[in-house]
Amino acid sequence: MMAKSDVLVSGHWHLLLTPLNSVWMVTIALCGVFTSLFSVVWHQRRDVAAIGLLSNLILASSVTAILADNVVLLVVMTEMTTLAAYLLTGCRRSGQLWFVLGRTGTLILIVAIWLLWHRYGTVSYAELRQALNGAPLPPALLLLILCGFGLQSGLVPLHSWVASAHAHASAPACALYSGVVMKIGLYGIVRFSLLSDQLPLWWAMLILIAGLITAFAGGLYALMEHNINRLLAYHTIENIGIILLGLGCGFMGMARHNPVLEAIGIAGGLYHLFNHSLFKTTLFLCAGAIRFQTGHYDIEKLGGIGKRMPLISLIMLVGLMSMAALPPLNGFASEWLIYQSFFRLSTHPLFVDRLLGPLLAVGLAITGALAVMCVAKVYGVIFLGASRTQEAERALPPPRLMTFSAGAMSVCCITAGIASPWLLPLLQQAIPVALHSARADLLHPITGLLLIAAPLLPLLIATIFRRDRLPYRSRGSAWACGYQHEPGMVITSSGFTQPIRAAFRPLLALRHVRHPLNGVTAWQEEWLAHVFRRLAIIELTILLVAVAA
Amino acid sequence: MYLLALCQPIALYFTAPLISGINRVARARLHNRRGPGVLQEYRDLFKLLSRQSVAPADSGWVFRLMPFLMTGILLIIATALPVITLASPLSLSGDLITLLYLFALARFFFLIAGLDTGSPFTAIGASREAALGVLTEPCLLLSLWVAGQVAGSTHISNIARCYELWPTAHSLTLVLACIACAFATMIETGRLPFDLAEAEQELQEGVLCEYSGAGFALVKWSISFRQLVVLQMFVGVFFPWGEMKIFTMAGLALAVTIALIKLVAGSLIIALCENSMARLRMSALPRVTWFGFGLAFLAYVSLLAA
Repeated sequence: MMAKSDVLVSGHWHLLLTPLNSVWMVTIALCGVFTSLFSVVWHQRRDVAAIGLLSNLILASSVTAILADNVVLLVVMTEMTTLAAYLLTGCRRSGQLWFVLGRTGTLILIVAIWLLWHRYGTVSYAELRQALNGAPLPPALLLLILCGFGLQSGLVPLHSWVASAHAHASAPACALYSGVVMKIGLYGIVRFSLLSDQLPLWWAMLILIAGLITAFAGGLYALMEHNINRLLAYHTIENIGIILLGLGCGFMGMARHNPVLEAIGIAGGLYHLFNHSLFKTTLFLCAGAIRFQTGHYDIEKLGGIGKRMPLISLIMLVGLMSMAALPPLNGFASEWLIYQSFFRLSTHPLFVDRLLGPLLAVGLAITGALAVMCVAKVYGVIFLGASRTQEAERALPPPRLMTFSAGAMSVCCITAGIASPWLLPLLQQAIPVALHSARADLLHPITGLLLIAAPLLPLLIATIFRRDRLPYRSRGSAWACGYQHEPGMVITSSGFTQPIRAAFRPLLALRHVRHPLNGVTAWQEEWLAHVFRRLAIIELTILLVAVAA
Repeated sequence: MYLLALCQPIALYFTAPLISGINRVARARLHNRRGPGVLQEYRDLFKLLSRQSVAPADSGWVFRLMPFLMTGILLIIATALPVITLASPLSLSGDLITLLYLFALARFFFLIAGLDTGSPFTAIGASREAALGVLTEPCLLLSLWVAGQVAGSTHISNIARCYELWPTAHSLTLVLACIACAFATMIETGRLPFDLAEAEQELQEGVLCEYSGAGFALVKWSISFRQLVVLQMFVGVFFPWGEMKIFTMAGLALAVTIALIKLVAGSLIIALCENSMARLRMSALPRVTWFGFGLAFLAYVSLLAA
């Protein structure tokens, strides 16, 4: 983010470090460092798969994809990243859909590159920018790019691979999927949109609507899950949607020639992108640590772990609260900026803008409330109350390095939330327009201090009026209408979400009716998974050799 | 101004039992009972504070700390509300979005405290509270958002200022936004139309069922404080008349009196509504909140058409 101007990193590789892609670089770097630290411990046990080589490959190729100064290198490196990530999914079956959809996405992108080459005779960003000369890319090309990169980043009609790919993967791999791999798709969308200074209005509106649908659907489906990895994967979809909402507002500002809207929107989107990687890595690492100690990804088999892993419980609380955008943590800081961009949009004189602004805000508010409910469910069912299985009852705190790497990420979450008034100006260089012109005064750090100080008043009252009160006692079981309390009475995650399931029943039924694999019988065959895996290994080797040559 | 920011939340906190006491008396009168007296809530709290807290063995620090955290968050919200001055005393957290998310933070701790007991009742109470939050959030946000659009700012004291000036071109929008927000306020304060005064524990306040002694006193107090804060947010923003534009010592007494009258009137109207309306089952929740959202949506349409 510090880079003032474009820097050519290496002539041979055609790499270019710009202020825009340095946002992605910082994100990948922070996520990569602590994930790697975490996997040091992860590999000490026999029953977990070794993932070192492939995760390093993911990091290397994603960095190259971000730094590439031409379209071809971007697509090749994205392909390598997703292939390496596919090989990490843990169980063959769960990555199948990702393999097929990912290759489809790449094919679409190849068509797009071919069209670009055919039309402008160049693939480098700088020359494309010159050739376009301020005019936007043709609509067909933009749509192809949205489909191609949307498949890589899990936009909602194209998202069906995300949850199953995360379901059985190891914790560090999941952190890389959500923190790094899916962000590259977003980079592609932003990169192509910013090729010209003038964006068509329909493109901005398309991005906004896609973002809204993605955010809401992700939040709703996450609430219904009880495999922690799948749940967090749906939240990644939700957050990708929120990032797109911010970016879409920025694009709207570009289309309307409103620099303030552009600055707040893009800053909000980029800051949320950075924050999402921070808290999602925290959460996946914590989920991994719990899996490491208990062997469960299913939250309904856990419960009461908070007393046995106090540190992990606290770290996960920080991560979950930032995911639900609760103040004063980092998720709130970036969502606040996005709300502000919606408000700018709704005070715009034009009809379409006034129509969209409040609706987007309402959509984001429902998504936020769903996230609060989901986060309460996750924390309550995993860490609080009574244990549901023996493994949960016997769980021990995880190794120190695991706790440290997850804890360091959670400290980053707190810092990025409280220090946001100082961190946001750093984003300025990445955005074409200065942010301070927007005069956005964020939640001030003082409020964070107040949040710590204010609970002292009731504490004081409780102390003053104590008189001859006996000390706090915690004994016996909970009240159950006079009957004997049984473990089966404790609420499950699906019981907790029942009112929402009832309220949104038609929407939830839609995902079964519209599943892409309805009616494909060969999909369940064992040989298909083998073939996909072989194909992936062959393609990855060919690409590696070609890149090395 | 900083002194006011310090005194205002504390004053509101100590008024909260009075307002719920008035509510209790009003309810009793409507039932043709004599009722316990306005100060009964204070006596209850004083007695409970000297009793021992007993918690189930499965509960942990969340259950124990929730009363303090919830009160603390509500105190911060109370610093930002316009009560006797039009400008919010601590304008840092007076932003609309910040306030709504601070309420969400309070609700989050309330929910996880409900899950921290292992009791089926508290957990179902938490689940209902969460669903209520999801379904009323759109109505609350959209009504305040539309009012903010008329005012040209998301800051709560600017919206109050706009209502005080009352731009006549937007009369319809302002009225509709006010009604929609009143509806959301009714539901948010946990009163209408699901709660039953005689069976609170099994319905929305199920989370409280395992609390006892001093812990219960603080939770009970914080619940009545939350009702007061939500009511004050509504009254302070949508009925800003009588709030001081410039802080003066002479105006203080008058402003405090008017603020108290507004609160008492508001709570009496709420008592009248809640005791004269039929109760609904929890499963009717989406239908009712759709109605509230419809009102807010009409406000939005009227602004679009203007």
